[in-house]
Amino acid sequence: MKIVILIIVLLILASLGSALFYLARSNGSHNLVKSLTVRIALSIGLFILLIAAFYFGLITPHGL
Amino acid sequence: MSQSYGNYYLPEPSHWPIVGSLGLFCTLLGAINWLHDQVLGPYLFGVGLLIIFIMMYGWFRVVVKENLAGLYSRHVDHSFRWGMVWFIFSEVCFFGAFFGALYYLRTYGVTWLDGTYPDSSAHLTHLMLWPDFKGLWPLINNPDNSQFMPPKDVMDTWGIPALNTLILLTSGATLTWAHWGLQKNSRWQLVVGLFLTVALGATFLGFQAYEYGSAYAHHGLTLNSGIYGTTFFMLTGFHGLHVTIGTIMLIVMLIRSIKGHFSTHNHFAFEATAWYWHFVDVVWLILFIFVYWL
Repeated sequence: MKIVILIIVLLILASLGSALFYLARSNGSHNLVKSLTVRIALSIGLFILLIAAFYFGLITPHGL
Repeated sequence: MSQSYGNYYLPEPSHWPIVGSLGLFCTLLGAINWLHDQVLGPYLFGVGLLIIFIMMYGWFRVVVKENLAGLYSRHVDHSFRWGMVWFIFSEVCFFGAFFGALYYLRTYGVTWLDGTYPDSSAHLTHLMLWPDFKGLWPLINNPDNSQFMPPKDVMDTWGIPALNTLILLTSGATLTWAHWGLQKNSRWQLVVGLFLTVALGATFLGFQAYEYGSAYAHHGLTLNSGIYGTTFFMLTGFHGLHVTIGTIMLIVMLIRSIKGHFSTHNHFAFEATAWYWHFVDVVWLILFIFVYWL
């Protein structure tokens, strides 16, 4: 479970990094908002996953 | 008079840089005197901060006016974007150092002291210094509890931290909705989305203040309760400061949106603020996972 969480965190960081790449470009406006949309979708997904994993007993807070 | 010469932009002489320098000087001089218990210290510190805020307000105002006057070329836009990238780089280093400190003390510091680090010399350190110390993270028992009063228990994961995570994630969603509104040239979507984001940011800060009160009053978790308390307040506190700065930036964007300063093709200030807010949101998410869960 810990690995899945870490992979999603890395994907979130990648989408945020991609958004920064488009922020640095004058013509990257549309791609910037798309990257940020992916970022927030992944983050909400991770939060739901944490709650589901807790509900099914796969993870507990301060469990490690 | 400000003028644009081809790729280059020549601003008119400005007093704001020297005002900023004066503000920084007063702030640091005040901080030093404060640390030495001099009466003037906190006042000088406060005056310095006030000068910096006045400088920021005044200088940003000039920049907004210059932008609206059409003085900024594509070349200038590019330099603004790279300025933001380097600012973000410094922010990543800032939080990277704090997360690095958390990783270091959990992986090395605590395991050296409790003898579980896989190295025989570390085990000797444990036996010679605090043989009774058991390093279960979060530390509710310090190596020497007489020096640092440990917390009674750990902070709750459910309740305010989870609620605050939901609030920040929702604010990320409302901001993205506002961002798409700007892309579609829908000002009402932009304004409503920004307003909701500001409201959620302020709510987050209110809940965090309440959580700090609860940490001190009910959990005994303070800045003096050992490494758990110091890392907790360092990470969540500096994050809270960034949420405060982000909320102020969003309020400015809201006002500028109402005034109609942004167009579909010219809205770098909004983009930079939006990215900053998403960054602050991601920092909280990582913080929530590593401080409260893992």
